[in-house]
Amino acid sequence: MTTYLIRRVLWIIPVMLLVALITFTLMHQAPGGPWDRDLNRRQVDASTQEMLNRQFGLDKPLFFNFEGEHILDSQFFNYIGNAVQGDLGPSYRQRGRMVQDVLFEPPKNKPIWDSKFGYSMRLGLLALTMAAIFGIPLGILAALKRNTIFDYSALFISTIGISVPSFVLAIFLIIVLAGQLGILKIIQRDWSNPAAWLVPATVLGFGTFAYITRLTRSSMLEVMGQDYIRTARAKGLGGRVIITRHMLRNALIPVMTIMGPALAGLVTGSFIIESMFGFPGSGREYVLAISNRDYSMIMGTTLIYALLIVLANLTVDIMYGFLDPRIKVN
Amino acid sequence: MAITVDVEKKDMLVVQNLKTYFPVRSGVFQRVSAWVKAVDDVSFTVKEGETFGLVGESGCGKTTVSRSILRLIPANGGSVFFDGQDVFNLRSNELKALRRNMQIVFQDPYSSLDPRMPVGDIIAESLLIHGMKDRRQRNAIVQEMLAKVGLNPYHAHRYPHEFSGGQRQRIGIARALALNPRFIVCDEPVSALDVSIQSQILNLLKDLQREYGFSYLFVAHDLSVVEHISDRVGVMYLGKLVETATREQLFGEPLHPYTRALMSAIPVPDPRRKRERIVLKGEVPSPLNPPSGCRFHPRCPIAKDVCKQEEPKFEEKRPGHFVACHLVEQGGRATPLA
Repeated sequence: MTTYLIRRVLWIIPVMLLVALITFTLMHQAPGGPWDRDLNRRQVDASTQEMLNRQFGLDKPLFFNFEGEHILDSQFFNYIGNAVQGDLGPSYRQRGRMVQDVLFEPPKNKPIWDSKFGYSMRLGLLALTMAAIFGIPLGILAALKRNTIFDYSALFISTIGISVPSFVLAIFLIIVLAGQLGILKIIQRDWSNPAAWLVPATVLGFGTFAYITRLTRSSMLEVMGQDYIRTARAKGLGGRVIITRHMLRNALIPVMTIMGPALAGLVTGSFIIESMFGFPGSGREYVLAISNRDYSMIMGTTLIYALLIVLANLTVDIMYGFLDPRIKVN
Repeated sequence: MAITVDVEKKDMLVVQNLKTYFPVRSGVFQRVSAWVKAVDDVSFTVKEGETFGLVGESGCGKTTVSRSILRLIPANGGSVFFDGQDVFNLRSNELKALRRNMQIVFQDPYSSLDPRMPVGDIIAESLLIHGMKDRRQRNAIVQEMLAKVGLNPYHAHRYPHEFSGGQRQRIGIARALALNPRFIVCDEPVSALDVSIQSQILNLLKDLQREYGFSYLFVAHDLSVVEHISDRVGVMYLGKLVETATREQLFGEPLHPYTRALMSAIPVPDPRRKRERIVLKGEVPSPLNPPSGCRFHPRCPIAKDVCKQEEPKFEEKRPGHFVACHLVEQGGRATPLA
């Protein structure tokens, strides 16, 4: 178990390096740079750009420095060197702030979870919790009452959840709840009110809810047909005991194991929803960073998200060993 | 406990005209369009302390019979009496009480144990559900049962996947045994096992029966297995019993043409001996649309016109020897097949 853990943790290093390399390459392939302005606005003049480039080290070669003192004195390797030490570099757009501060520093006198990343994390958690709380029971009931009107209704709802894009649902809810009914502000400014979180969390988690419902249903159906369920009945066990002790314990394994990646997906995938609701999370920073060519910000956010996904998957793999005795983590 | 030998053994299980049909659904609205008559009018009895073997080809309804008796599948007709109790008309708490006395060992030892439960819990769960609240008492029985079936008591903490097929079947037997039942259905308990393991399990079952005196309904498709373990044997074909007799009668002088064909297929461990092989033509017909008259007539080597039109009665042709065939005379020999 310990060797396995160490090996898995060591594997994170090459994965992160590869993510960094790909992101870095793609980012520099995109036209434009951090000093460009909107075309209808006055551009930063060439000499200033040159000065800024020198100041931030953007005049150096991208990967290998053949002319300088050291071959690795390049943009990429300097960035990696700093990132390893926890320095994700200065944001080129938000002057005077470091990337890690933009993401993780809460407003004055606020706890850490009021940071940009903390906001996204909490929204993702809320969305996942709601998806699980509604999805798992719905899936179980659909399986127990399969081929009834209840099952078909659950199928209908979850098909909608999987096929309707979240931004369509977001617009729909904004129009109905804010426009028609007036129970929601179109632009929410005060996010300290928990009720304000419900709508973006619902929109964000709806697809996951649908997926959890389908997964729970199919997993339940598979377990219900197993021989050991018949064994349980032959023992004289009642329906409820069989459901909780034998069916759920087996059927929920796959559902539990998607929770980690689902959370990572919800946190990293929330940028559209955050932008639509004006939600002050890191997803919005991500989108802004890309359109601004805020290189260090793009790199920083991508790496944090990648780390989140890698850790979520690692957690699931370790959890599997505990949930399913047949799988020995080794 | 004194066992009376001279008195006629009393019937423990009486199965009368058991019918179990499965609906076939088709069309947009999934309406029932036909019925698969998996078990159609089957009657037999199992006496106290005896082993009743049920043989037949796969798909003939043996397993369905055994599960219907235990109410693991709902039956469509007929009745089952266990110790005078009408099994099909029990309320749920009475049925639960009955499960103490009627247990089952399943065919597939790989899938019939919950993979997420240690085997000790699998065995103890039956005890708990039937009211044994004391944990230490339960553990003691678990240990005892594991030892009884030839496993180590410390195996109780392991999970099913850590055992081999033979060991798992022993766990399945220990599980059935834990409630101290009086009747155990063995639904092909050895067919999923290696031949070398099969005899171990069969001998274990026999030893346990000698010790506890319970009855078995032993379902199998392997005739030599059935001959080894049964006191009386029933032969099924396409959802119906065609012959029941004591083991000696059935293996000594089978009367029904189907039974005789089956017997001729048993391999004899002597290469020089010539065997009279009766090879049946064709396939087993579909139970969706069984043949008219005697269900065996399309494959029977000696079928007459009457066999196509009239269904033969299941009659006692000799004392204790029941056959459903027009061509077996009362008390007499069967018509030669060749």
